[in-house]
Amino acid sequence: MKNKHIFKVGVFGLKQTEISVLKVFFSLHGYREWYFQLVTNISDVNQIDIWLVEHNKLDFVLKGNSKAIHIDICSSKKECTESDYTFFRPLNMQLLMKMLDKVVVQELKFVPPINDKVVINDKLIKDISKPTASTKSWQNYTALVIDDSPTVRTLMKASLHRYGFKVETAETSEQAIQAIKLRSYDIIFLDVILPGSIDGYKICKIIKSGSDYKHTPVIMLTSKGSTIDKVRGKLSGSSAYLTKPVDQTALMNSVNKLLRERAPVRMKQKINSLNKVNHVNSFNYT
Amino acid sequence: MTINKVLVVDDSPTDLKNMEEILSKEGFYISLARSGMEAIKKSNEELPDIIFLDVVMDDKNGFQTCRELKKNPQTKDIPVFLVSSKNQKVDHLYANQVGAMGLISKPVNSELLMSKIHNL
Repeated sequence: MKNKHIFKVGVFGLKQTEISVLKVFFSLHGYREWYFQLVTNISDVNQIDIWLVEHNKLDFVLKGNSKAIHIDICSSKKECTESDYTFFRPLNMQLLMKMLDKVVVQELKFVPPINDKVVINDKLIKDISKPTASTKSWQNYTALVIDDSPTVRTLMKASLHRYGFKVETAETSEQAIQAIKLRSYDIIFLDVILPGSIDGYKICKIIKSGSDYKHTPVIMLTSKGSTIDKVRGKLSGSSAYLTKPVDQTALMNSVNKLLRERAPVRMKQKINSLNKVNHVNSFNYT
Repeated sequence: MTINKVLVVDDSPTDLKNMEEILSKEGFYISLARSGMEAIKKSNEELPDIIFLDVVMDDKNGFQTCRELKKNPQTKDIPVFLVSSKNQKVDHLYANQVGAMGLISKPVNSELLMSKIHNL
């Protein structure tokens, strides 16, 4: 496994709720080869790579550590002028993560580790992520539906088939673990309450800790809709959390978004496996 | 027998929605309950023409609920179909014993559901 690269993010003057949400988001991105670590107890300001600072407290950071990059957090456009690294409230975490990634690449000159043979650039991502027709969009994609309810399995199978997926199902946690170990899936739909020794959250953690399938998007489908359940879902590493009865539009919006995001990684994996085959074929056995 | 009002009882929101979709397409008036206790209360208040009752529920299971409905003079004549993902002989036997008209297995097939209603 490659060494992970950690960037320390210091926060100053942010609200407690914002810090809590940041913690969750940073932990969700822990599977990448570079990730962010939140530093709230700042004993040595020089250890910080990036600051997230409340606009009116910017002086503290500028005086203390001029080397670190700072992202200016503002409540309104009136109170501060917009620069490259100004971020307006309410904090949209997806956009903030993108800005942090931009900072590490552009300012800290970090080169994200990628396969030499496949260069993933913006054009490739744009090409792959182009919206496709609503039906049969995901042909040759495989989905695993883990749910003990036969109704949910049947309905999910029917709706996913419509979009071209090959669908497999599992009823219990044991069946699910076995299925995941046997083959790889492009997307997994996971119920929280399952018969068997472990629940959906734990299965999700197992999926996200396995090197072969940690990038597989997991959509949790559950009747447990409280905020605490949603946070538990996020902490276990799920990519999306939908409440039953599942709204088909919301389901397919999540599926389309997650699979388009994952398309470059999937293509990279396919090219890697083709490269391996070509490498084997190029050997001279005589 | 003319069926207008249907009571569907299930603790699973997906199953409730599925049944609601099937029955609403056929033009029935549908009432929903999420537990055995709620089913008993609604049956007494609304007097539906037919009840579809899930078996595995938290407070009172479908068999217990059906038995109570059949003991109550006000609701005893309402036809009850149990609905379950369990489809063994013993489940059909229990369904019969508690006074249900039959047991329909999940996932519910719309044609089978409609044939049960039309055959009453």
